Amino acid sequence: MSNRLQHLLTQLSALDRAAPDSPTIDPRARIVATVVYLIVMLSVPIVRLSELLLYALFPIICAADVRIEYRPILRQSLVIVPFAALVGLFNIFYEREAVFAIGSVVITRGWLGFCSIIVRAMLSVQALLVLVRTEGYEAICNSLQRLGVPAALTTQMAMLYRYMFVLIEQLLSLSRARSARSFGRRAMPVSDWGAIVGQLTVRTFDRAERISQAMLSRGFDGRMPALHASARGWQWRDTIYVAAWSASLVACRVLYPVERFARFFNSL
Amino acid sequence: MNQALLFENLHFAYTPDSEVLRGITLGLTRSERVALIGANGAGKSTLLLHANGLLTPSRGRVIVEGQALTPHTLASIRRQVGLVFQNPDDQLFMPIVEEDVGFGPANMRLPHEQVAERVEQALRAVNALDLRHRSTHQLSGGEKRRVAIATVLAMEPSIMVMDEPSAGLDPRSRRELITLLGTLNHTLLIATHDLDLARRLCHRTVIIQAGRVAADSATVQLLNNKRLMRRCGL
Repeated sequence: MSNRLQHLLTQLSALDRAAPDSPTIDPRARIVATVVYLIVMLSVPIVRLSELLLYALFPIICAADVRIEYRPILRQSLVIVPFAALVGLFNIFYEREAVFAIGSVVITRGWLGFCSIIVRAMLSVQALLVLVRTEGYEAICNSLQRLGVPAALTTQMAMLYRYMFVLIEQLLSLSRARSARSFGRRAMPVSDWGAIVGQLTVRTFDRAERISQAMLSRGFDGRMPALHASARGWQWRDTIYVAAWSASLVACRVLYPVERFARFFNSL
Repeated sequence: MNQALLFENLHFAYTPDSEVLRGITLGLTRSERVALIGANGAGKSTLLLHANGLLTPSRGRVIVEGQALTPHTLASIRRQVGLVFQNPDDQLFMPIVEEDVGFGPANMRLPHEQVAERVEQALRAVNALDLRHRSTHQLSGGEKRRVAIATVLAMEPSIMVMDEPSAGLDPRSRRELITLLGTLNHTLLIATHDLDLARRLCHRTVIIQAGRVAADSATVQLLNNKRLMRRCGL
């Protein structure tokens, strides 16, 4: 468990990279484009599963644009699959209406819904991962604030991120202390879990209190200060970036190009 | 009188039935370095937390550069009194070193250029300029301690209050820390169990025992008084 936690901590640290010194596109433009993407992609009807595949291009293009390797993003997005599968599972049982058949296998609306939920969840996570890796979490919080999101919310987001490390570190030290005295016994009894979670809660409160004191003593007044000067203001190219993505995404949503292409292909 | 920091008849209790500070009066003149020693639980850390208003006394008052600590003066007093915590992991909460060092100046709503300038100056002062882009999680104990001091130096306080600055350091890092602290011209109040550090840095030492000042004298004289030291649990 300790190794896995250490790995998670390293992954989280690597996930967030510092914002680039002179970004080509304003972080706000990328946020707006990502939000438009999420709204459009999530609004695609459940039965049009094939259309969703086209939306996989957004994270791939955005990642390529800032020279981020897509494969790790794809791998990391698999984390959401079990949760999405749990949500989508009920569709299989409740929506038994047949949509089409592949040979003797009948595909019901429920199965399409199940797959659709998993694909949507993965694409959403991928788009957000690319955004975080492009701009850095800190810059996203600052940009959200500049977009008019209330400071109370963006500060909570920033705090959540920082305290996540504190929580994992505390869990890591508790887990190591247990391993050191468990003499090779790998399975952890439920009673040990209870004790560790209890200890973790108490220690985390304690640690959070001290960190809060450290922040207050350095003038923290409830609003996270902008730590990096914005290298550039909003420019025409940001408007074009948002407009181009929005137009393309809405066109995909309205015109159903995959279905049209399939129909055209079948008519040949 | 040239008082930089004055605790006046300070009383404080975390719970109503156990008072931690029981009428402490202690003053520091400008540029004076004072060591605060005492057994565990004597009230040293609690006293330090009062210096910039993180705790509010149940009785008595704190005066910084002639200004009494009240909710109205809190912000300006926090700029004047820099607090270095015992555990640098508590002090370093930002992901990157330069962000952490810049947190204080940015909270003072200084322009970005000035924040960057202060970050550079503070890191240079503690000989940690090469660490500026490093993750705070990945620093060694000695590096964390130096960066923790830089986070406070960047706010350019006139008074620095430190809780166990040499705790957990290896001998070399400890020597470097003592040399570094020796170069500071600030008014310094250092709570420590490191009697050698107190002897090297501070001309004056105050012993706290059970929330009261048990002794306040020249460091050499006080540390040589074996009977007093034993009586105070040291």
